[in-house]
Amino acid sequence: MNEPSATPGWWNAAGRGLWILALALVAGSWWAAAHAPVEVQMGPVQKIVYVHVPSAIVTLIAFGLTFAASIAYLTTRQWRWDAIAAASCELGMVFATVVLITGPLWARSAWNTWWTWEPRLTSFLILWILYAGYHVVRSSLRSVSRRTVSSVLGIVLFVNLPIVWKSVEWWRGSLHPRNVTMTGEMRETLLLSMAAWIVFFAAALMSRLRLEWIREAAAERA
Amino acid sequence: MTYAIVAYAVTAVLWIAYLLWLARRVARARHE
Repeated sequence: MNEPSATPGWWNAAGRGLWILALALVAGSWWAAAHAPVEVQMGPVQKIVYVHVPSAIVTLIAFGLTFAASIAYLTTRQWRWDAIAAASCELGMVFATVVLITGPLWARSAWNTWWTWEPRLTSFLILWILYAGYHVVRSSLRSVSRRTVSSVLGIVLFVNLPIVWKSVEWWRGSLHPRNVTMTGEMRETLLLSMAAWIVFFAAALMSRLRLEWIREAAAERA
Repeated sequence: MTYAIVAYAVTAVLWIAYLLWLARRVARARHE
């Protein structure tokens, strides 16, 4: 076993602790979602909100972190910032995919259609495609320029986030709900789900960074 | 109800698949 390539012990221990917390919170939030009151108009399908909304929020957090880490890399030229940007962007893609799958499942009941080209849905799909492009470009480069090009992309693509966020206000005829207003048990369930997926993101980010750490150590040895 | 179950099931499957893929890449990187 090549131990020099392993991450520090404290990192692994913190990662394990975070994973236990994340899985407990996600399991708890799903249990809470199952037992939350059924919404009068939509019925049980409204419970999709408890996974859809937190995933959308974490997508924006993940791509926002990619933006911040990309700036930090271009400023400091330390590989760790590039690693954070790439890891966060990859996880953001998974969260964004969850959003794009769960959204139409909700829309089928709410709007009687799987998909409609309204501002929020369209801008989010464009966001997904553009960040997929980030990974295509990054994986196609092998030289030192890989980190620089990725960082520039991580900064430029961030322009899309405010557009997605504000799309329901900037364009008329938006079907997508502006705000999710809930009270009582439903609100508590949504807040728990938010906390659960944010901690899940943190745990997954630590695991994904471990991969970058091992790769960097291997590159240094080579 | 069916759509809600599908949404949660797909979320679980997607994350499990991603984490397995990540674990495979970590294992491969450690042996390189």
